[in-house]
Amino acid sequence: MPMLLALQTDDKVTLSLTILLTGLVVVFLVLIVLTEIIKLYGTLVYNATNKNTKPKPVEKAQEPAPAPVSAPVPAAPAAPAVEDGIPGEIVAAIAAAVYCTEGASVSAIKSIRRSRSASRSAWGMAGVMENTRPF
Amino acid sequence: MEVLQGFMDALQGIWATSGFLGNDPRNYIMILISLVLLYLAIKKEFEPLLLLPIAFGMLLVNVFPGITATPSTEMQLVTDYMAAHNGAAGNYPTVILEGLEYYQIPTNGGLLYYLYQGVKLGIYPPLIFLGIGAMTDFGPLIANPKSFLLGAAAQLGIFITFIGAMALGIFTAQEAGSIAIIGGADGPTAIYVTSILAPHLLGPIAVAAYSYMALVPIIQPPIMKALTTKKERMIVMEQLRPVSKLEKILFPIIVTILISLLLPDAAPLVGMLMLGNLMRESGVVSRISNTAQNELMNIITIFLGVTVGATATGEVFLTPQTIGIIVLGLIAFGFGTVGGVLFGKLMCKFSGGKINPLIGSAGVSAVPMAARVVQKVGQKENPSNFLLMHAMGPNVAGVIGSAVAAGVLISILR
Repeated sequence: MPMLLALQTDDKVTLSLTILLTGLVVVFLVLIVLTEIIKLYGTLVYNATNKNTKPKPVEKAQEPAPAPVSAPVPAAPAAPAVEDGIPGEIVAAIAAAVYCTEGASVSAIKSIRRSRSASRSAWGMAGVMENTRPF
Repeated sequence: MEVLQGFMDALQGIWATSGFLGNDPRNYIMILISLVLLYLAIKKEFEPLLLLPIAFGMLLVNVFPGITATPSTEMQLVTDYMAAHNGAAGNYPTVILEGLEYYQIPTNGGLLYYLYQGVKLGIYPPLIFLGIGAMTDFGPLIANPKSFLLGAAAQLGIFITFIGAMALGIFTAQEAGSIAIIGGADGPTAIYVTSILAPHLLGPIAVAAYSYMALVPIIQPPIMKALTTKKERMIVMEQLRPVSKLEKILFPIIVTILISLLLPDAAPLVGMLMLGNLMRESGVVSRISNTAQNELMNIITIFLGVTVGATATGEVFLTPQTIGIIVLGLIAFGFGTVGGVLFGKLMCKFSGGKINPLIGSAGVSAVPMAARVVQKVGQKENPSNFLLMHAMGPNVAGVIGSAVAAGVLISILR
C-alpha cells in the first residue's frame, strides 16, 4: 500500500506502458534470437547428417514410389506432366509399378503429382487416431 | 476431589487453546471455501494434483493458524526459570532489561513454516521446472522454431493485465506484476514471481492460477472460435520434420546460455527446466531423469501445494483484492489466448495459409492442456486434422516465454 500511495496516476501510466513495451520487446527479442539460432543449428545438423548418409538416397528413392498418385489414361502417349521435384527415377518406378499392377491396359501416364494426403498412410492415420483419442 | 479438579482444569485448558475460541470468523468461511476446492479437486478432477494439497493446506491453516507460526524468542526472568527448574540454570543467552536478567528462550515455528521456506526462498518452483523439463519433448519446437513467436505473442495477457491491475488502484506495482503473471498460465512461474514480488498474495494468486489452468478447456475455445474463420480452423498443417538427437541435446544448452546471460532473473527457472530436459535427451542419466520427473516432482508438489494453500488465511484471502485477482486472472488468460490466436492468424497470412491459427492459443503454456484444447477444437472442424504435435511447439515455447516475461517483471519491479 505505501508504494501505491507514493505512485501518482502519471507514474502509474508511465510504469504500465514501460512494462508493456519492455515486456513485449524483450520476450519477442529473446524468442526471435532463439528461433534464428535453432534454425541455424537445425540446418547445420541436418546438412551434416545428410552428408554422412549421401549414398543412401539412391536406394531410398524407389521406396516411396507407390505413394504419388498416378492417373492412367488410355489416350495418346505423351510425356506425363510431372510435378516439380520428382526425379526421373521415381517417374520410372511409378511407371513400372503401374505397369505391374494394371498391365498393358494402361497406355500412358498423364500426370504425376504428390498426393495431398500422402503425408500419412491409412495405417499411419489409424495409429495417430489411436494415440490422440484420449485428448 | 483433587483428581476431579485436575480433570476440570485440563478440560478448561484444552477448551481455551482450541480453535473454537481463538479462530476468527473469517477462518470458518475459508474452511468452507477449502471444502469447495476439495470437492472440485476430487469430484471434478480440476488439476487435482495441485488443487487437492492446496485446498487441504488452506483447510489446515484456517483450523489451526499456528501451523504456519514463525519461530520466536520468549523472554523469561532468570529467577522464574530457575524456580521452575529446581534451581538449575538454563543454557540460553541472557539479556538485561531494566535491571532484570532474562533468558531468551527460542520456540520452534509451526510445521508448515519450515516447509514454506522452499516457497519463500524460491526453491520449489525451479525444482518443479526440473521435473517438467525432464518430461518435455522440445522436438516439435525445434522442428518448427517459428512456434517460438506464438509462445511470445501469448504473453500479451501478462502485460495487459499489469495495466488492468494498476488501473484498478488497489494494488501496488509489485502486486500488479504478481497478478499479471497469472497470464503466463504456468503455476510454478506464478508462484516464483509472487514469492519475490508480493509474498502476501501467494494464496489467492496460486488458487487463481491453478483454477484457471484447470478451466483452460472452457475459457479458450470460445475465444479461439470468435477470432478465426471455419476455413482457418480447418487448415491441415504439414507434418513436422524429424529432429535428430544432437539437435535435442544442443537445445537446452543453447537456451540456458542465451536466456541466463540476457535475463539473469529468469535463470533459476529456465536453467532448471533445461537441466531436466538435458537429462532426458542425453539418455545417459535415465535414473536421475526418472527421479526428477517422478519422485522429486511428486514430493515437491506436495510441499508446494500444502504450503501455498496455507498462505490463504481468512485475513489475507477474504479481501476485495482477492476478487480483483480472480477477475484479473481471467482477463490475463483471455488476452493471452487472444494474443496467441491473432499472431497465429498473422503467421497464417504470411505463410500463405500453411499455419493453422488455432495453434497460437497453445502459446499461453498450461502444458499440455492448451495443446489438447487446440487438437480438440481443430478436430471438431476437420476430423482428420491432427494439430496436437503442431500445438506442442507453441505450448512449450510458452513455458520459456512466460519464464522470460517473469524475468522482465522481476528485474523491473523488484
